[in-house]
Amino acid sequence: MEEVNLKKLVGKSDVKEIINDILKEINIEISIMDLQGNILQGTSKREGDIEFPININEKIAGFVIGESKAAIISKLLSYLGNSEFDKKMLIKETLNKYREINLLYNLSEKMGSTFEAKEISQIALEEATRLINSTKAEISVFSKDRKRLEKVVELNKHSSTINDEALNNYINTVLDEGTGQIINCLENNSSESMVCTPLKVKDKTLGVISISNSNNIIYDSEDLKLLNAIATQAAIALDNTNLYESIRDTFLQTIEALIETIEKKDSYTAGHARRVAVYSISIGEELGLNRSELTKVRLAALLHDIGKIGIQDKILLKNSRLTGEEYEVIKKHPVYGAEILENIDQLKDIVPSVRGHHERYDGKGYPDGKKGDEIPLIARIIAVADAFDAMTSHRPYISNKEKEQALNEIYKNINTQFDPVVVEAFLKRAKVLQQN
Amino acid sequence: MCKKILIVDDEPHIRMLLEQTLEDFEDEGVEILVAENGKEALEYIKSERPNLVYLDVMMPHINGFDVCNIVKNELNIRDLYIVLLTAKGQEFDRKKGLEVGADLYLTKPFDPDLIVEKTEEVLGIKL
Repeated sequence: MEEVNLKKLVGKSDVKEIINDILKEINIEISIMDLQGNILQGTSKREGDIEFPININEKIAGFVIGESKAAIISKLLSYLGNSEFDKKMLIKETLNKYREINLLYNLSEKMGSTFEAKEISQIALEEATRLINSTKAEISVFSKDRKRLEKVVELNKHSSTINDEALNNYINTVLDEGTGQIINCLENNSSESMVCTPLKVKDKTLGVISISNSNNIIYDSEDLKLLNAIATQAAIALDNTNLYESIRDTFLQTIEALIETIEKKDSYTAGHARRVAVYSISIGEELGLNRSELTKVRLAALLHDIGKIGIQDKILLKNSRLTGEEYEVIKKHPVYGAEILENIDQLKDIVPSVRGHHERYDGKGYPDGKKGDEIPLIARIIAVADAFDAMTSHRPYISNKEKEQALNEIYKNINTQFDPVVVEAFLKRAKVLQQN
Repeated sequence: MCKKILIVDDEPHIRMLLEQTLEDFEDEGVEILVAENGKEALEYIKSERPNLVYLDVMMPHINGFDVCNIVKNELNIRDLYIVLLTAKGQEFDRKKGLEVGADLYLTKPFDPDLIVEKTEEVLGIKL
């Protein structure tokens, strides 16, 4: 505990003034001495002087030296010293709160920027080991079936000698009891200690965070309080991650179901969407698109023909040549596709690409007759991939020669049907693939 | 010559909190000065020449921006590191802070560890 500095207290101008006023009033001389024997005020001892102790926080902090009346000064200084002490404690408590507020603020800010369980755990552990003296730290979470505890991240600051078995036993105790615990000296005569607390959101326990030290550290309630604060934040972030993942899974499953629907209806297109997606992504990569753009490429390619669901079977599945009228019906599928996908918020971005995948670079395509850069890049990519697959997917095995012919066919239609930049990227990729 | 830190805030509890945060520097021979308003702050800066000042922005009469501006641009005192303190949630005008020559700005409730770290860095003292 921080002591109140007697020298500072006596040196305060208002304190000095009060003491001098009193001394004048009661007409005595005194000196004030600290525990080391330094005279802080007045001169050295006079004959017959008595030492009156100054008690601050139940400890002697110094003496007032003088005749019997000097006792009043020692009482005054004891009182002021204790007030100062109380004030200091309050200030310290407030500063600790400030620390906590800042910790939580920084944590939630950092954790809010990611949906990766690993990253969240890493942030939590780094913060915990920064604030709590430790040689090892880890976060484990329950598996989906809640049968096992799986380690997400482990930080070993120094080569730790922690006894893992003992540690795991205590972790299980913490999980059973549902509250954080401090265990100093894991086993008899051990130099290992740990603080451990569950990661809880409402009534759900997601896992556990533990901090341990093998160097004779004694953890206290302050350490546990900090770890609890970190655990709360981490648990919320991890829970959000779970929610996010389940939403994402539902989304991906929905798309799978949509693709499956069109494949079930038209066996010709079975596998087509997936192959077009593969080709489109490789073109996108060659063009240097970033991760989120490549995700859009993939989704748009997978779903580009989804509008065929809206075409009557007798036209869509017709084996003989289509009449002009029937062909006009088939040409509606990009528009139907766009209309279907518009209903899903997460797919709004790719709607123009699905609508535009039968546009031609020279403006003679459908449904809108857009040309050049008016056509979304992803639509221009899918157009190339779609054409290539249409030419090469009619039989189970395609020779290199036939692939070559298909590529030549695409090359011939640069600037008319296809965007030259996209074709160039595709040819480059195809060449690399053939060489391998 | 001993190094000096000046704390300027019109709220007594913030002054106390900053004083307590910086207390350990006194053991290293650093003098801590405390001012309650902008006018007092300017007097201290002129007479005591502190090395570092923690300066509240929102003060009546002469606010933190004004003090900073006078020090850096009128008195041309360059060897004073000025940290502006603003309340959290209060919009801090970064551009204005930059214009008046503040070296750093922090939000209240301040992080005591960060204040100690910054002070160590500016004064070249390791606690």
